[in-house]
Amino acid sequence: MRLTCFAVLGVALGAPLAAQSRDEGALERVTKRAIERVAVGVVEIEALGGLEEAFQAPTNEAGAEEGILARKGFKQAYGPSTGLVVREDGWILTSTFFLRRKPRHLIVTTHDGKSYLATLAGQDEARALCLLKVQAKGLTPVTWAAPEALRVGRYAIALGRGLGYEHLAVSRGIVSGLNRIGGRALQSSAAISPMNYGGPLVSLEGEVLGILVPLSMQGGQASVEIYDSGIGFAIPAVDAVAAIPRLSKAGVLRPGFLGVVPDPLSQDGVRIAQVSPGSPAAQAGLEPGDTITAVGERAVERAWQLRHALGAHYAGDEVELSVSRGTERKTLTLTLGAPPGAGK
Amino acid sequence: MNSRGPVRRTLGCALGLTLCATLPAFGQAIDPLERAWPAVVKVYGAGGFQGVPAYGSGVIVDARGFVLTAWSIALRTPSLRAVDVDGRSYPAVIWRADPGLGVALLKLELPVGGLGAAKVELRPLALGRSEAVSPGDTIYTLGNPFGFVYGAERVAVQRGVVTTVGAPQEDARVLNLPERLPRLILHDAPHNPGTQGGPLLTRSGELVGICGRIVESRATNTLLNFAVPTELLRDFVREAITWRSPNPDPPRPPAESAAGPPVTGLRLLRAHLVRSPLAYVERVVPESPAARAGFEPDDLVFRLAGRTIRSCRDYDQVLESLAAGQEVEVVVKRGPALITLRLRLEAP
Repeated sequence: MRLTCFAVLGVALGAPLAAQSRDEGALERVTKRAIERVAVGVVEIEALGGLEEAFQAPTNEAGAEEGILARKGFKQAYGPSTGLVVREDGWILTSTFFLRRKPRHLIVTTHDGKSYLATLAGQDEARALCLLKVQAKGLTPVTWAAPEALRVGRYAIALGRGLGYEHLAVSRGIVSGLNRIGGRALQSSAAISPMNYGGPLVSLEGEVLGILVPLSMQGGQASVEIYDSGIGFAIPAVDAVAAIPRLSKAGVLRPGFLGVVPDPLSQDGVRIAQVSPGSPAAQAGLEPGDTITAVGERAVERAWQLRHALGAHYAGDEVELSVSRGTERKTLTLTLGAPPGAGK
Repeated sequence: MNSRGPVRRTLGCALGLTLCATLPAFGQAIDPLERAWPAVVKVYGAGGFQGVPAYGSGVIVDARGFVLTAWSIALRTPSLRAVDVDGRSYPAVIWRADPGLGVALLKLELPVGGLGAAKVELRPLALGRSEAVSPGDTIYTLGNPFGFVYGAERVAVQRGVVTTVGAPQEDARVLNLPERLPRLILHDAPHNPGTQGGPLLTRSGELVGICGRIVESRATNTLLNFAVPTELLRDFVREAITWRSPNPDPPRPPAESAAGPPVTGLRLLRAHLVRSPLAYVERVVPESPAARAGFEPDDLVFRLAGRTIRSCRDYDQVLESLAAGQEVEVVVKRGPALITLRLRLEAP
């Protein structure tokens, strides 16, 4: 036989092979244990009514239903969505994926098959998260992973209810990146799509690293192009947990908007190239040529650092900017606005 | 696990591999692919039209030259052939097909061992126990995605996990799934044109499924990677092999065109094109099963016999699948509460 190793995964030596086989078995076992551990805190969410009532099968120009090769135009997945129990007294964190349909009724079904009517308590437009409330007691919340558990290269399991099977749908990948999309999201190579939006990204320990959200690379709504592509996003546990109390009160949280265009060549502070008229930056008196050196306690030297520092805040948050103009240095306190066009 | 068929050690991987069936004993190891390689063939049909690839993959399941593959219209050609791991090319015929299950059994025309002609010994892979497969299991697929692997070049391997197992959750036609597939395995290793027909292996190399064509889920707007579990194939293979000749008239395959299959059953789904409202109860007929179950006007039917009811259309479809005499659970929304009612269905 020729040794044509075109795509050979097999290992030619006994010892490494034994190791791989043993590791593979161990990986499978811990994967399944992790799924089992988190499953009780994962719920199914049915969104009824709204735009779904007018759902149209997409058709091509000839009037035939679109197939795999013509995936364009309006299409809204209509399967169930996924959510996480975050408090035993009926608070459910999920993604905003199904809100696009403007549903009239939300029904949450817990792992034991009990169904509850849910109300929308709040939504986070910056992170594509929303919080639901059901009248229930004694639910089992998920266990959040400590921030140290979130490391690039580690295995990550994505779980969801979107396919509607009895089991949670499983996909496994790794954590591919941190601080994506203005520092708001982590990136994973697991298959992430409507199959599991709102579901957990879980460590091999069965702890929730993040909640899967329909964000795209640019920060907008994810669409079919990136479904299950190996590029998917989740809001890290620490940020998701921090958002919960605000979501329970706030109604709608929007991304914080400052209104400056940074000079991309900035270093040792972010030089402002332009200021949007009427923006919080303009109202606070910022001008082109000014240099922002810190947001609160966080020093910023380059444009991306400013983006990350602001990405942690919502519209309505007060932030303190350290600014220098020529030799003059001062500290401005201003209130971030919502991006123009938000909420429409 | 099965270990039928001859086991070969090949030149490339002869060092200390023990091809045992269960977990390796201490110090031993299994290469999950070692037994599978020689059983995988590249299948070449005809066509390549309407998005149906002319190429695919297959698994030798019997040393007499029987190959399991995914059913496709592209197999229906007199020039059907298969190429084995050593690059030998065999003419093939469809021996038996079951489009409803999404599979076909091919028979390779093996060279007759005569003077100067080496007898070909095929190395089949036995059907394993797909019943034991569950979500989170590590799996491998072997296949020829995009048909770019030729001759003795080895097919491509992908590794993933089982996403879920169970009965298809949507109307089979919508998914482009084979029509009569009672159970399937979904996994997260992407299928591409040419993957279909190849084996789905467990981490110990057991054959537990035949990869299917690419299908689409309306529930999620995503492509699904499915395999036909071997538990559904045992009877088909056993029965097919007993025949003495190929079926001269294999069942007509379902059209795989993008336009969708021209089957009357699809008419129901045309209802997608009209507005189908939520399943609110307008009126309860006195003395009817619904009245006895306690339904009231304005109840919103949310679940019927375990299925979610998103519209009147869903309600009609689920009801059609139920039989008179059955007692089913119905969950309705009444005001701010969800209520479970028990409904005994009656004959019309």
